[in-house]
Amino acid sequence: MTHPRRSAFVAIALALPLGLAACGGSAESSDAGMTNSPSSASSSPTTTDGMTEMAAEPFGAGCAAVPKDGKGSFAGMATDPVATAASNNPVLSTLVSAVGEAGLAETLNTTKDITVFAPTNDAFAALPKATLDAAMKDPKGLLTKVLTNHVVPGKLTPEQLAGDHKTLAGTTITVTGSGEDFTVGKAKVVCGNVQTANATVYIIDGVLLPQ
Amino acid sequence: MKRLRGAPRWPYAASGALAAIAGIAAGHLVAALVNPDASPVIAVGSTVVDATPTPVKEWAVATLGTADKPVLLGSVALVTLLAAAGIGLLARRHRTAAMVLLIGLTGLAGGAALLRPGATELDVLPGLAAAAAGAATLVGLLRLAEPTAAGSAPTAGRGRPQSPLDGSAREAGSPGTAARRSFLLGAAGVGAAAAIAGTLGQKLASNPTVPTAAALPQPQTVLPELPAGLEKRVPGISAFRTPNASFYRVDTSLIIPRVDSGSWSLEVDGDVQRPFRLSYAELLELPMIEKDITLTCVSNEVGGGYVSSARWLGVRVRDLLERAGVGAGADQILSTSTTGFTISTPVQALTDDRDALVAVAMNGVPLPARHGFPARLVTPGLYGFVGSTKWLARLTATTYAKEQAYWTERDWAIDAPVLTESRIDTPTGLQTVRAGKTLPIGGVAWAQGRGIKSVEVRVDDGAWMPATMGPDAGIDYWRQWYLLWTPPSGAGRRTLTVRATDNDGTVQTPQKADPFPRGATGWHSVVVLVES
Repeated sequence: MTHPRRSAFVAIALALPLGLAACGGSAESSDAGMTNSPSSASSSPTTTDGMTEMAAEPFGAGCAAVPKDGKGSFAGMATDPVATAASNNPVLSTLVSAVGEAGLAETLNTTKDITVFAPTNDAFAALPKATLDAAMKDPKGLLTKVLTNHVVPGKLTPEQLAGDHKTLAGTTITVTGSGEDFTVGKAKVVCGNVQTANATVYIIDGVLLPQ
Repeated sequence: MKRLRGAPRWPYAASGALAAIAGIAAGHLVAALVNPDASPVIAVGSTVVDATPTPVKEWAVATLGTADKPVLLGSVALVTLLAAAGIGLLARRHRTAAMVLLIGLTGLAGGAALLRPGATELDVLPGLAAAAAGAATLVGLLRLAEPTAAGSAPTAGRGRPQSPLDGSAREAGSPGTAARRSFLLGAAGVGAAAAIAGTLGQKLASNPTVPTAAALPQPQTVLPELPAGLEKRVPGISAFRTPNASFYRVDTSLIIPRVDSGSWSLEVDGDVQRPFRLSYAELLELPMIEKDITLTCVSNEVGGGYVSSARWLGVRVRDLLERAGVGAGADQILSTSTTGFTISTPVQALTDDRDALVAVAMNGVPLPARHGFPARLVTPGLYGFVGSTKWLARLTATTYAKEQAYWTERDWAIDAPVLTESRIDTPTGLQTVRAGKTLPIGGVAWAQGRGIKSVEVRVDDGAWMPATMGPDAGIDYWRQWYLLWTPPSGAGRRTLTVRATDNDGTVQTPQKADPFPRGATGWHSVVVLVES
């Protein structure tokens, strides 16, 4: 309200961060606070040490479709590698079977630090049947090319998302947008910044076909 | 005596909050001298963590990541300040009740400190200091605040008709102005003093007696230098020795224990004839050996990164157990960390010739805090969760029938030797390679307790090709391997698979198994894309 009240708050505000810094500070850097996070199904000794880039939470209207608990929830997926995490998420079951058909599950699980644009089941359903069939009939060729078109090296944060990115298929995809609104090619990001043990996932509503 | 109805509230709330800040700072400073874990905010924070249900903890880690510790401590501090501001407001009309509540609030910190595992009576001192400082500050600031309240309505007294001067009135040059200024000065002074005390406390607390590398004892026999690995020949391969900064970390500690080696001790007790206790100085005087050991986490998936290798310096556990005289009926050594976490290890694994250690140093320096300072168990050949307790405080001889350790209670195996595994480090998954351009396929393999004899690689379903092995540093240490490969043209992608054979001649099993409950198995495969 007036002068004196503001000054009092300023006095407290000055003391407060110093006090908190004194209490909370320590010589340990970014991974100091990492706890052993038991997964929700069976407690396991894995650490979440790899997740040092947690800036924001997952965003997007499509996030409501992610299970609230269990291995397919955000917390459950955070401690699993990306293909395993996706296999626990009913929204991504078509993608998971395509990845399995292509024999890429283990490779995706063990490659460090990647970003995966994951098309929903509806996205696959919207593809012309002929295209999908042709891909599934050629798992090591066309299907691999289509799937690797969705993977970018490095874990992209929402701040880094907009722009051109070279995919592991050798192609370039362009992401436009900002904040919580992003588009990749013709697809929209419906739930973004989902963390898994080795990858950041952006769930999209369209399949990115390589040119 | 009742205060005026129109007296402003903000000086009271401010006094309460500042009293809490002063209390926290004083407590933090005293804790630095007594036991840093007994500092008010940290003691209450740790108690909150222990009381938090596991699903909430998981959510916090998944959502907050590295911010989980600062958010927790910040929240505790914030709630305390809000409560204290409320107490300050209460002091406006009910002085005694407010003082009682303030002492109770600071008493919570003392109580939390006493409830921490391993607490001694001294741990109540920071809480007492917080109570004293908080109470004194509140009294002092309220005294400064009263003239402010009185100054805004110079003619006090009930029954006076309402007048414009009832609100925030200030005569030109009136004592009210000066009184308000002195309250603000007092408040600022408290803030500054608290900041200094808190910072001083933090500085003192962050320097527990950590010995330098020079103060480490020499081992009885010095191991030869580790041979140079394949890093120069195979870019991208794991370093033969993992530097401490890259060594994997897995534990259940929300806050890394900051153990003061000066007050730490190792108890050896339970079913033993001669229980004893060692201080850190006494431990360092015992005969020590050096050993190259690869540690693996049971949760490591095939192709995963929860495996690292270092040279360890420590006392043989066998020596300590012989000194204690373990009873014939004991089949388990239950080790307890300073945090109360427990691990069970078969007695025979700590007394046979694998030379399990109570280690004090890794790669030539005292254990970093996050890797278990001042001492940890390191048991070659067993996954960490059954043999490599960090922040070791106690070894108790007992039986599996009698005691269940933390992960045993969660249905993980009690008998968990490390299973043979191998991993492709380079090329990485979905990397593009050129047909006709030779490149090395390289990685590591381990079979602690048996040693790695050979490694083979195959491309797609082709024949297994023997890899060239890197140096051998003993059966408890991993080995690097590599194979030069020229990608053929034709297919756009190739699958590379690796498998290892141990010194018993047993080939690593292709059978896929999940980490739960005794470790993952299966051959590691990596798909690479080939461009012509």
